[in-house]
Amino acid sequence: MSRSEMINELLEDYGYEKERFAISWVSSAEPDKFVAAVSQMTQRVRQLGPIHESAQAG
Amino acid sequence: MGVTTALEWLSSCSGCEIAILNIGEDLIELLTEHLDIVHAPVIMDHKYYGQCGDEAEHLQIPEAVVGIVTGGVANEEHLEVLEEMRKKCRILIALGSCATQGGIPALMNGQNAAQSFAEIYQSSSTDKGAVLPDQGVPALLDRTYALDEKVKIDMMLPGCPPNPAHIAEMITALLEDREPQLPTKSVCDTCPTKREGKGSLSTVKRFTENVQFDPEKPISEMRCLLEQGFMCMGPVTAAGCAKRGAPSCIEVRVPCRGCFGSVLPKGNQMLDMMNALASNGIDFKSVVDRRSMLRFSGAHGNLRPLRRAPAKEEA
Repeated sequence: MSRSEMINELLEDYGYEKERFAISWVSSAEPDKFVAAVSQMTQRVRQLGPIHESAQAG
Repeated sequence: MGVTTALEWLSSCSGCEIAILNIGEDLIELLTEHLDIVHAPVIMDHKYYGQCGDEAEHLQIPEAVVGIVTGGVANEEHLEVLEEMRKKCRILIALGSCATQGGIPALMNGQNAAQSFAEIYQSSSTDKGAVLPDQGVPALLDRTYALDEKVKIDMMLPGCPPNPAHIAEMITALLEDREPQLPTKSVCDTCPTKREGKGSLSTVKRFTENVQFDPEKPISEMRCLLEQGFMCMGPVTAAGCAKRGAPSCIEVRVPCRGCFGSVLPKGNQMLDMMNALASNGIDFKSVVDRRSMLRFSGAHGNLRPLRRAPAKEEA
């Protein structure tokens, strides 16, 4: 858990929305929960849109 | 005649050049029998535009087989010199942590440059403040770059300063046409301190209290500083600083500061260290200023201004 909290902060350090990271626990007997988690995440990322990195790629 | 060699220094402090001098007696043979230095602003008064400044339109550096560049790329002049070095040298070597990963000057990459300039030069006192010059000085780039972000680099030797023995090995290997034998592991791999496991450690300490050790006993009798709870950057820092057995800082019982940069050339010392701490159940919130772990490796986009701060104008 501590690591996932850390990821939230590190994402913000680098200027990314922390909503781009999520973690959920789904057992192999919970397909509905899995589908919900995946659709929720895809929807969320779609809403956030692409990451606009500065064009400097080295 | 020896192998023609050109030296250049960009955004650097000359510590790397002193490291070259510190090769010691072996340097005499290298200089007198093997190398022919054709350009080196740090020791020779060579003019970029001809002796009277009127012989060339573009700055000129003589052709050389080997080019050694220290310092990162922070302004337009650095970039122009670096590009000219790339054109004229067959083998281009990035020497020192500034050249390989940005080094200390790249600390600026973590700040908003315009804001910092105003704060440092113009508004810190009650008098009028300086006017930032825009004539006769090269303009700063948007951030400080490592050399390999701008041109192709053939060999890299990090360190702040680099280890003289490794500089000698690199040059000798080139002369003998073989692969140089340089360290590839982390500082921890070269560290003789005692490791007993982290025990009940769950936070890291700031270096405001002393390390536990017996001054009568050698380094190999001292407990690993990370295990003592200090932020030792050994696990995520490239080896090479050990000159008399132990890594240089550990030798004087001080935690590693990370001056050789990341173990892999494009690694990120801060992320690697945070990852290591989290894996060992250390509370990441006990690390006071995690961005300072990039104090020697802020180039390659590792260190950026915090976006939470007032937003920078994005083009």
